[in-house]
This record gives sequence, structure tokens and C-alpha cells, in this order.
Amino acid sequence: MSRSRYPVWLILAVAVALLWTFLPMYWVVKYAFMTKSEIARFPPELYPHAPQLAAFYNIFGFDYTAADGTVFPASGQANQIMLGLRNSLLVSAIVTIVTMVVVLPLAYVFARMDFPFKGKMLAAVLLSVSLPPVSTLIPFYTLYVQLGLVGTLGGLVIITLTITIPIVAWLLIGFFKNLPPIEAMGRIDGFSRLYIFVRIIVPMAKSGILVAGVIGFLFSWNEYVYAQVLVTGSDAVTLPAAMSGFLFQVPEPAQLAASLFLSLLPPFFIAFFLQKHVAEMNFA
Amino acid sequence: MARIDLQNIVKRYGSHDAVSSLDLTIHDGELLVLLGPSGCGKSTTMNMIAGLTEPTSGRILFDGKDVTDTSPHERNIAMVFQSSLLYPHLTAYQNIYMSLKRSGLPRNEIEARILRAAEMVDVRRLLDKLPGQLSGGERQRVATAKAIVREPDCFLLDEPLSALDAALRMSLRAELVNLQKRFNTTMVFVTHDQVEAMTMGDRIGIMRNGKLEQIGTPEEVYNRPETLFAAGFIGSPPMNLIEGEVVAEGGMKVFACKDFRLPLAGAFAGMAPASAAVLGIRPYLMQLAGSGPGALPMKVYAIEQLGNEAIVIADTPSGARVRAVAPAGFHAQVGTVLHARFDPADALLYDPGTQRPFAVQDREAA
Amino acid sequence: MPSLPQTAGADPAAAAAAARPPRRKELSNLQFALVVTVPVLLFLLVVVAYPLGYALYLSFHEIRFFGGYSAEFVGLANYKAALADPKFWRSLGLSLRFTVETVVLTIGIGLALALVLRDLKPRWRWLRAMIILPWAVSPYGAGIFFAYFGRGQTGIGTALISAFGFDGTLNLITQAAVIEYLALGAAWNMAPLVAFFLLANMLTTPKRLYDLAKIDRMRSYETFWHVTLPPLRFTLFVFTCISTVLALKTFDYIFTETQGGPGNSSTVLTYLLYQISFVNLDLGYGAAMSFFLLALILGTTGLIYALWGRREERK
Repeated sequence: MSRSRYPVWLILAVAVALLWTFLPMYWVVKYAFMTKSEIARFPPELYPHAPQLAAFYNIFGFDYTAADGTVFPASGQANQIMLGLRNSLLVSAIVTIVTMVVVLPLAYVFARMDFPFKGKMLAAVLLSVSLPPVSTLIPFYTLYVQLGLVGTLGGLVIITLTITIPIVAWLLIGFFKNLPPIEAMGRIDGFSRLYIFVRIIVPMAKSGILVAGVIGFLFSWNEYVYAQVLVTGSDAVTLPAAMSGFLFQVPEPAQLAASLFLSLLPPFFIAFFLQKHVAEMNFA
Repeated sequence: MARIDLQNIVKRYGSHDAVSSLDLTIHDGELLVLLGPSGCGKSTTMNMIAGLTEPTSGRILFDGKDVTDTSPHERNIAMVFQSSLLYPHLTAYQNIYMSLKRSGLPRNEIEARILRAAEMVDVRRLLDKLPGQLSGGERQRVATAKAIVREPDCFLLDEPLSALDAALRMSLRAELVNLQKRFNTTMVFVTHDQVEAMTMGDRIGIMRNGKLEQIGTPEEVYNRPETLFAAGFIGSPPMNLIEGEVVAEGGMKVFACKDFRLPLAGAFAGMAPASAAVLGIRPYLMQLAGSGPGALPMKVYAIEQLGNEAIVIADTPSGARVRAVAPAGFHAQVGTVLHARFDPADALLYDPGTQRPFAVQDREAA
Repeated sequence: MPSLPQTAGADPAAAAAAARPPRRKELSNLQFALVVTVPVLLFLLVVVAYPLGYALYLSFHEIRFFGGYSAEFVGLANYKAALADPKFWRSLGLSLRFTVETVVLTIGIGLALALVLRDLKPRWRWLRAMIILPWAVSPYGAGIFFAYFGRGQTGIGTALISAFGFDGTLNLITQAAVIEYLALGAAWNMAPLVAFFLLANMLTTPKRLYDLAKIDRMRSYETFWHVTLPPLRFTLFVFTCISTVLALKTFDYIFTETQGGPGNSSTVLTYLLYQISFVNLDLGYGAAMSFFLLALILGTTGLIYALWGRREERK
């Protein structure tokens, strides 16, 4: 069919790359479609022999009756999973919006204006990226206990912002730096700084802003360490924290795989549609 | 229309003076070109005229009115930016419209003006296009339309043609000059290209290291460069510069170097002897000739045929590279030794210490 | 007495001020910057100054929870104890081993993926979108994937040997090589992003350079070395820094994958810190040790910059 043929090594290389990419994921995601006995079988099964969706029903709190009459009872963690799904969406959405509102003017100013202590402040922002969460957790935990923020969505939003803000700022500063000197033209045309920023720079930079925002969403959606400590078992639990119940408390590989699969859908969707833009980001 | 005065302008960045104590007057209706290598302060100067950059000290006057503290928009200027910058997310029409958005003119008046401006630079059919869909030359025309639509007191152009190819540059150059003469509006044009400066400017201001080296008409800066830098920067092919000394010999002043000795004539015959001097002579004033006293020996390095003439590029025995103009079709083997002569009265003599021409007592005037 | 004409009671300074043209109504750079940087300063106070300050306070104290909370000032004792603790040095070694391996694998695999993706014909470009997916997987998710993927009971190793007719299990998560296995998974997670940035760089390399290499009869590894690689150097440097910092900070990935095991063979510094602070609740000691980790992160990136980054910047 193909007019120009690929060399064998390239076909092989592509096959290896695809295997490398998907095999580890497939290995766990297949559990979502297997029965308990299938999962427990030794040596491990390579694929579900009778694929069924019981795990997906169970994590949402429904019993599932298979064709042969076997009943898969609803998961005891279903409540947490559903709460987690809702909270993860809520937290990530709020975090993304707040991050963008804070970071857009900040990144703009750092990228395109000169003012005293700019370099030092930028270094401090970037330093916060290299703080390991395990060492900042205790101070935050004590503070949160005093302020009554443990187990609240608000508390989780605030702490997640400490991750997203520096990263998104870093991405956007690089992006803004590469814009042409459009402010000078705007000032000649008689516009205020605010107008130039809101009505000219932001529309010009919308693809970069979209990418940075989505990456902020992704970091928030994938955050686990803080959530595990601050909101596990509470009404503010997020999906990753809820899921870890299947890992550590009552090992349920099928339900773990099903919820992991669910949690991966938004990031996959994002990655798939943004892959063209990802590499447009520049380094500050 | 406006006359612009810069009075003792200084722009300091940290400890570095981008522009140092600059005095400059741009006459009403004049096309002034600011010429210089990158980093010479020409763009900073233009930004200060525009009001985009605040001078550290000094005053800027428009028609005698102090505008140092006013915003760019209040100065009623129009500016075309490097590479003819346009708002990339707006169409050509919207780009031109942005010039008048804050003008307070009625809507129909704005529309009429935009169409008139577009007509004038022949971009009417491009009005719905985005800058990304326009060629370099078309973008330049839209940027020009955006500038003229405001009917400003002064046009400021910051290397608008630098991203274009040579042929396009030449035709747009003429268009811009024609436009400026028709409107009779003051224009400041910044460039690092001396050909552009010579062909466009009513006057040329040559800048270097934040200072104005010389300002004058193209003829003045070409024929009487006031500094060694101006001498080497203006003219294509550039002026030949030969290092040596000036000695007194039997009542005459003679320029002497390893390559040749030349009795001085004309104005510089009256100068005092100097242990270091640089002799400047335009290639067009050198003729190939036979050897003998006063002839400069030189070894052919390359010959450029220009069709109407040929340029001989050659090295003197002491290693200076010089150029001389020869008739069209002139040929010589590389390495051939030729001689060139010129009228000593045409030579300019510079003091390498001050970088300026030597002072002469004008005997005729005395 | 002759006097200059003067308006009554006029203060010369006030007159001068009145004569000055009105200042711009617009905000200056500094004012505009201040408006947006005040939130930044607040943010930094909360995110950097507060936790660091509190951790500093903790690190000089012995915190006890038994018989009521108490904090006793102990000076540098916690720092000294950390330096004398063989567990600390062991974990430090594991962290460095994990980091070096992760960075090398991430960069190497990223480069390999980019080269494969570059040569795809337009019809197969959608594969590029597939290859980036692991990057979207969270570290805890990657930990779960690689936990099941590697274990003897459930993993690919056992599945493979049984396919060839062998009995028994092949465990990939072993005491000896767990760090290598972890590094491989970390690279799986991060390499696609590296590949995408490298690919973007590769696509801007002029085709003519490859023609030139052909004319010069370069061998394929020479072409790679002299044509493909040079434009990628800055991106490679940036990602070396990023993946170094991320690898040294890694916690959730190891937490879900090995919990520091088998035994304590993957108890890297972050995991040790977690055990000290959250399991043993020895907060003062944990805080002191976390400063060594922070110093390690800053020191390593500083070193990479000094050895490599400065050269890249000069270009």
C-alpha cells in the first residue's frame, strides 16, 4: 500500500517505543476488566479472558451481576471515590483559575519590566520549586491544625497553589519574554498599561496561556502527597487519596485499576490535545 | 508638523550612559536620519523622542513646548517599529484603527481616514488579512498606513526596512521619502545602514557610544567627515585610511609613512607637524598611475566589477587595505603591484588622538 | 528697599512644584510592578519563608509528644546526630544513585524517543500524541503501574519466563536492583516530555545541515554528534536540571511503588525523612535532616549550572 517504505529498524523502533509506553499501563489497567480469581491466578494472565466492567460499577457504589449470576458487590470505598472525583475536579478547577489570575500579571511583569530586586524575587519563586514536599509538610500541617484547615477543600487549594504557581509562572515568563515589543506600540497608540496587558498581550498570548493553565490543572489533578496527609478520610478527600485506600487498606486491584484508569482520562485527554503546543513553551 | 529640540539629554542605565549629553535639533518638515552601529544610542534617542523612554536628565521640546514628561500619545507622533511590528492578533484594518481608537474622532471620520491612508500606500485589498498572512513588504506598507492615519506631527521610524530584501528596500525607501515630502512632516529615521541614510536623509546624524559624532547633509558628512569614525562609516566603498606622520620638510608639510611620502596641499598644508596622523582619501579620488614620488604602491587583493566601474582592493606594503576606483573592465592578476595617485588637496588628515581633523591656520583668511 | 516682584506668601519651592508639568497619570514601572508583586511577596512568605523558618525552629529543638507536647532547645544536636547516623548516609547514597540513574535514563530515552518520532511520515504523526501519554500519568499512578508490573507474583517478569515454559517467579523489584527499577519507571514518566521538547528543537534544525553532512561523508554517528545534537544542548541542560531536582524530591512515586523496600533497600532520603517525621514523629530530627536534603538539591543544581549551564548561556 504505502508508496515509500519504512526501514525495518524504524518499524522495530516504533514498536519498541509503543511497547515501552503502553505495556506498564496496560499491565495494571487490564485488572479493571478482570475478576478477582483471574487476577490472583499464577502465572499472571496476560489479558482478561472474559472482560467485564464490574469494577467500574463497584467503585461508583453499584453491585454488578455477571452473566453467570456471580455478584460483584459494591465497593465499601465507593463513597470516597465519588467524593474524590468531585473534589479533585473542584480543587483542580479552582486552583487553575486562582493560579492564572495570580500568575498572569506576575509573569508579565517579571518577563517584560525592570524593577528593583526583580532577580532576587524571581530566584525566590524558583527556589520554592526545589523545596521537597516532605520537608514543607510538617510546617504546613502544624499551621493547618492551628487554623483548622486540615480536612478542608480550602486548605488543600491553598497548599496546591504553592506547587502550581511557581511552575506556571516559570512557563509563562518564558513565553512572555519571546513576544515582540508590542507595549511600545500600544503606548504610542495611547493605551494604558492595563489595557495593553488585558486587551493586547493576553489575546496575543492565548495559546501559551492555555497551555500553561492546562499544565497547572494537571499538576493539581495529580497532586498526592499533600492530599494524603491533609484530607485522607475526610469529606475533602481527592481522587488520588481516595484511591490509595485500594492500595494500602483493602487491596482491590480491580477497583484500584478502574479508579486509576478514570483518574488518567482527563490528563490523557489534555496531553493528547496539547501535544502540539507543549513544546512551544520556552524556558525563562 | 513640528520642530523637535533635544537639550542636553542623558540616558543612564546603571552606570552605563546609553546617551550622554546629547543636543539635537530636528527642523520642521525635515527627514533626519540617525545612523550608527548597534548599541550607539540611536534607538534609545528615538524612544526618548517618542516618549517611550524617560531621559535621565535633559529636556525635549516640540515646537518650543516642553514635552519631557508627557506620554507618547500626547506628543502626537507616529512610530513604525523594527521589522514593521503589527499587533499579530488583529487584522490590518484593526491595526490601523488602533492608531485612532483613542483619538475621540467620530466613527465615520475614522473609517474614512483609514480607507484614505490604506489607499495612499496601496493596501486596501489587504485590510482583512492578519499580519501573519502578509509578506514583509505588505506588512511594512500596513505599518506605514497605521502611522500616516494619525496625521501626526512627526514620524518616527526605527529600522523599518531591516528585515526586507535589497530590492524591496530600495523601492520602499523611495516610497517613504516621497510620502514624507508630500506630507511635509518631520521624520526621524533610525538605521545602521549608511546607504539608507545617504539616500533618504535631508540630514544625517551619525551616532557612536551615545554621542553625536557629526550631523549634516549627506554631502557634508560624505565630503567633510568630522571624525575618523564618520570618515570610515560613511561611503561605499569606505574611505581609505592610512596611518603615518606629518613632518616639515623645506617649508612644506609632508605626510610620511612606510608606503609613501606625500607633500600636502590645500587646507592641510598649513597644519603643524604631528608624530601621528591618519590620512583619509575617498576611493573615487584615487587614480591608478605609474610609480614615482607621491604614488601609493599597492598589491592587488581582489577586483570587484560593478559594470560602470571596477573597484580595486589592494594592500599597501605596510598592510593597510585600500580601495581605488578603476575604469569598468579593468583587470589585473592578484598580487600585481599597482600604484595609485590622488590630488593631495583632496586628502583629509585626522589626529588619531582626538579622532578629529587637524586644526589648520587658514592663511587665505588671515 | 528694592525687591523682586513676588507673590505674597509664595513659597519658592511650592511655586516650583506648581510650575512643574503634571506627572504622568500612568503608573510607573515600579508602581505597576509593586501592584502585582505584593501578592508574590505574600506568597513567598507563606510558601518559602514560613515553612523554612518553622523547619529551622524545629531543627534546633527536640520535639516530644508523649506526656504532652514539649519542645526543648538542643542547639545543633539534631544536625550532628544526622551526620553521625549511618542510615542518613545510606539514604543519601541511595538518593544520589536513584537521581543519577533517573537523569541518565530520562535524557537517553527522551532522546531515543525523539529520534524515532522525528522520522515518522505525516501519516503516522498521530503516534506522537500516543507517546506523550506517560508524561500525563501522575507520579503516584506511575508508582502503582510499576509496582504491579515488577512484582514477582503479578509482574511481567514471571509472565515472560512462564511464556517460555519456566516455572517460578521473576521478581524485578529486588533488594539489589530496586533503585535501578525505580529509575526506569521514573524515566518512563518523564522521558516523553523531554522527547517532545527535543523533537521541537530537531524540527527547527535546517535540512541543509544534513545535506552538508552527507557531502562531508559523515558516518551516521558523526551526523548525530555534529548535526543533530548541538542544537539540543540547551534543552538537554534544562531537562538535566529539572529531572535532577525532581528525582531528588521524589516521594509519592516511591511511596506507592515500594514503600522504601524491599527491606529498606529503596529508602531514599525523602523516604527516610517521611519515616522520621511522620512515622517516628521525631520532628526536630526530621527538620534538621531536611535541610541537608535542601542543600543537596541546591548544591547539585548549582554544580550542574557551574559545570555545564554557564557554557550554554555564553552562546
